Amino acid sequence: MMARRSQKDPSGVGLYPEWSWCWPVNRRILYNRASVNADGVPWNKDRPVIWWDGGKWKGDVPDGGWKPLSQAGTKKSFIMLPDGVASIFAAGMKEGPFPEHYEPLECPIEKNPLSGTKNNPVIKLFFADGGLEEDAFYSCDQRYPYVATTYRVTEHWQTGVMTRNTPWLNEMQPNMFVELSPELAKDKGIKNGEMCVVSSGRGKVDAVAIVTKRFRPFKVQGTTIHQVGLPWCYGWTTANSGDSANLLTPTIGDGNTMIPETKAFQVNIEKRG
Amino acid sequence: MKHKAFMIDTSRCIACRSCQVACKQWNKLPAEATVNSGSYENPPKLTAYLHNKIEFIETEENGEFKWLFLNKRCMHCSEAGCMKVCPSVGALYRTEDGLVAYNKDKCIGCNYCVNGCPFDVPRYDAQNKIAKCHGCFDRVENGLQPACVKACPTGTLLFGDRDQLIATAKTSGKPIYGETALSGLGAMYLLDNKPQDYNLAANPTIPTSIFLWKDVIKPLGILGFWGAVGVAMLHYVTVGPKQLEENGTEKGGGNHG
Ligand code: SF4
Ligand code: SF4
Ligand code: SF4
Repeated sequence: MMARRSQKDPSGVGLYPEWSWCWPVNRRILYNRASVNADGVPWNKDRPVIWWDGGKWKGDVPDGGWKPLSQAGTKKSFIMLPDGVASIFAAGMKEGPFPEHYEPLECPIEKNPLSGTKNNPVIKLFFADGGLEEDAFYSCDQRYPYVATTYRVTEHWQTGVMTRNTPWLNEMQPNMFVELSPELAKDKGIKNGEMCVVSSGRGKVDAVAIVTKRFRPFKVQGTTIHQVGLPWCYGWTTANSGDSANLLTPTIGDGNTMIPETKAFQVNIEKRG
Repeated sequence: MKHKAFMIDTSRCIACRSCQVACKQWNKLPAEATVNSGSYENPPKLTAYLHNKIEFIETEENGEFKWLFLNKRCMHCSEAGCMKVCPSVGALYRTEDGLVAYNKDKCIGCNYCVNGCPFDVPRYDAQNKIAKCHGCFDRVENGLQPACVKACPTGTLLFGDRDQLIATAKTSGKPIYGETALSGLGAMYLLDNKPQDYNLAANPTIPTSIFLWKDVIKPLGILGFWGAVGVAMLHYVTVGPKQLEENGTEKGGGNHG
């Protein structure tokens, strides 16, 4: 089914129902019954996605086969939402309902330029609960002046415990690195390929410097802020792979999901002596 | 002969390196120990166990960062420097589809092809036998696509009838690298930037000394080679094995002419 490549488009609106396959029942548009009125007639007659035709739905595969809303025994179009209708904000969030910008727990600036509240008030802080040393955080601390972010690489899956031990993959991305801009590298006397130490308030890791123009200094409120980036797919169980970037990241839980803040935290970087 | 060829549309490449791994898988090539030396690119160069690789080249265009990805491999030249210099008949040969393949059993490990290649491609394995991209002739002869092409998810690597690939590539309006160079390369690139930006020679040529070698010295050399073998045989027959051992090191002497 996935190999299908028919360019037939009977709907005329670009559904291409026989091009590959759309999980789970080859329906192309979610909640598509919302595109018709209570009698099953498309709101936009020139671009019909689905329509009720003599006791049957035509067009796209209906999202739930219930009859049009004017008929008995039907169900509202947004079948996976509790009240069956569209929302302009997500119900049940701990904060909101409208989006707001908060600074990360560790950040290089004193004040949130967009709001009087600096950090999200519903984040889960472990250190504040009498946590451990490795749960500490240091915002606007001169010892950790650079923003760090962690990410994956194509060659490794998650922390890499499987892919690092797949020799063909490990050959392509063998060990821990840190990426930084040529400007920061110059400031710190770091050359491409040199071994560095990246440290945060919680730990430190050795990493090979990749000096690249893909990283650029930011101008934030008139000051220059540098960012470095590290993959989080290295660590123990693989020879010579280096340490895990998670030794650096802060222990903090997003208020709704408990996702930790590994994309923005503060570090220092030095050439390894 | 209808030539088959690779067309490599560099602008489509996302550097996923499926091609590197697929080649190793099909050809049962081992992984090698590597270290990060300040780049995503690894291994740093083609090896006897790496027949194709992606080069990561960082450039700027109008002040904007631009990453160029180039799939490096044997170019399967129509006028192949490696074949010209090879003194061992059948070690390097042209397949029916026009690709440059090799027979390790016939390779004598002389290293000449390394100097004859304008693209720095041939390598030597642990047994001192040539290793490079052979165009997956074993797959192609059986109606399959080369392993790297089959694995490429973006359509960067294309393989097929050379004339047809060129005709289709021309519709893109981009210059084709290798359409005519060295009488036509069997691996061509569609480049976004100038060849030099990819560290490719604008006009690849076989070193001129090679022509001298091929046209004058090599025929003599092969004569000399077999001559030396013949003398040794005679020696063996007439004088006996012990002296042969002493003289044996001279066997290949004729090759170095
Ligand atoms: S690229 Fe080098 S090894 Fe490949 S065919 Fe040409 S000369 Fe021979
Ligand atoms: S054609 Fe075959 S041998 Fe050549 S690079 Fe591709 S997979 Fe490897
Ligand atoms: S498989 Fe294709 S897209 Fe991926 S790196 Fe190789 S050439 Fe590029």
